[in-house]
Amino acid sequence: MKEPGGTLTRRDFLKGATFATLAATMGLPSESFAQKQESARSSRVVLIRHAEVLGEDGQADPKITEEMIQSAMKELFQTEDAEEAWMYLFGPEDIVGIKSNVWGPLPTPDAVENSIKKGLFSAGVKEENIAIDDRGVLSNEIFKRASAYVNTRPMRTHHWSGVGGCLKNPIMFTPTPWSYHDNSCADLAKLWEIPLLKDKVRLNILVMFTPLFHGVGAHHFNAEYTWRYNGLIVGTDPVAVDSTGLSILNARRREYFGEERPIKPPPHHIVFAETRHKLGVSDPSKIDLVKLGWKEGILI
Amino acid sequence: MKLRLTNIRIIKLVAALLIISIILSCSGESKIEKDEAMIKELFPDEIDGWKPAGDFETYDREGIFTYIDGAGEVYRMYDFREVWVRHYEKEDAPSITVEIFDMGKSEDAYGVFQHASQGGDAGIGQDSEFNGGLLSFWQDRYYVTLLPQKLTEETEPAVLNAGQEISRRIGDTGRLPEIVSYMPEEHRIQSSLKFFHLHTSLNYHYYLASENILNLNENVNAALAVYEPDRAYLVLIAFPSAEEAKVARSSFISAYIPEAREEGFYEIQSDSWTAIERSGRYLVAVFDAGSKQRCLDLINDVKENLMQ
Repeated sequence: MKEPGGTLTRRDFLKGATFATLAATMGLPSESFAQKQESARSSRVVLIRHAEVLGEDGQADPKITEEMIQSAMKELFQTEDAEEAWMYLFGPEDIVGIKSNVWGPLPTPDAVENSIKKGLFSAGVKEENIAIDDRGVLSNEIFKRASAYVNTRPMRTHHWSGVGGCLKNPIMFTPTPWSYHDNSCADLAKLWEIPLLKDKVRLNILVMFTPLFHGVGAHHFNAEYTWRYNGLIVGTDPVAVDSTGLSILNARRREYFGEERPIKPPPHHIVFAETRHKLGVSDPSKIDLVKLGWKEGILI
Repeated sequence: MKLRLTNIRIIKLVAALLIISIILSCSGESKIEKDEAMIKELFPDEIDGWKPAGDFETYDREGIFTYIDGAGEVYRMYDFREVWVRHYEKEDAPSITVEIFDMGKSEDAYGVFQHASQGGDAGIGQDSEFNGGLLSFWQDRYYVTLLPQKLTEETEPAVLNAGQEISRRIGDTGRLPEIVSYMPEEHRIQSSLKFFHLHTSLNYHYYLASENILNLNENVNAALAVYEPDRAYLVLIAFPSAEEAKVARSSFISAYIPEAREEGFYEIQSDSWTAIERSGRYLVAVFDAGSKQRCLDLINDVKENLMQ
């Protein structure tokens, strides 16, 4: 087997390396991917769903959304109540940026942003020390002084990186986003080494309310390719969070198209986030996935 | 006296240079203006009652990122020059957005259209498709998309009519990439045929390696297609020189099938063969073929086409 950080070829995936997430995305047979390597790391991720979180108009219900996030936090940190979980991550001295996403067709819902704010309040973070932003993070005074971040956005397939999830969300922390586009965004995890961001993202919430599982056209969006999954994926490891979201997108694509139809381009940045950049765990077999709430159509 | 003559010569030379630069700058400016006017003329004045709303928007190779979040690179993989955008509105109806991409040359308009094409000709332009409300087609050096905010009984015919009108206004047709004509037609899955230059495109259609082991670049033309019954992938690459093709072949063998050595054929899994062969400045690669003979057949088909 090659060095994890070197050139990876199709043959490496076929040989049974531990890149199951990407292999599945490439439509390669799953039995080829014997889980041979032992990993010292494992990541806990909570998937929570609620049948009624979305109203008829598609808007997220603020109360149900908040309950979902609180439940996920309790489960993630194994605490008696949600407040304790929030206090596990944040404190009254923290200055917190909530990195959201404003992409027109599928933005981070207000209900999610507001629930995160309430969680931060419960940990004692002062309102004046919290800001929500996306494209203005580099000029946002709170973000510039932040001691911590919460990273949240909806999951979607993406024209250039395969998928856009939590790993990609900090792209606005660089003034030159295109400098991370090389080789279909293979090294997006490098974003997480930007000094303003490094080691400060304490929580990732991937919104799976209406994920985009396939893209068409110049803007890569058509509502036909979204569905009401009504879920949130919550974790501290952005790689594990995205890997879990990707597994669900792949399952939905199989269900919708009735065949293996690989996401193009393959979102190899998720694998490289583990193998090259040691940011987290991408292998689903090493992710401690906890499922809460609505089970119908869970796909994972 | 000699000095006076030299001065006069210098003055004449400066004057001549000045006149030339004025002529050049004037003609350059008028060409840009002419191009702008020409592209604007391609947009319909009205679409079945939908009227233009606001000014034209335009984005070049750098500005494309601000317009298309994340997908700008797809166009930049080709000779993309600029995109012109116009929104059309009608009371109590979903809006319609028309985008005309100037791809520099017809080959790249074809390439970018085929990039994400799923098949299904809508009969507009040189090739088109109409999926989920989005009409896209290519013609001459243009790639055109029309997207209604929502597909309704009213917007569907409007979008198709507008597409026909834009196609009529473009008028000319462009040539296909020459390399595509060398790809065997028998048993080819038509929608799988792609034209590209860069290894990121190859990885989009067939993930080969994280690095550019075939030395693809902007000066290279490449085509890919899938063939039944074994769904073998055939990739044909035209390098500027035979030497570059030779180096790329060595690079590929060394990185992907070192076991094949100089022969260039290897069974990487049971009943899954990979092969690479050079013919002058061309490289022919076969992936996922059911047998060695299958690789040979596909390669020979290409070579026959190259000789014609």
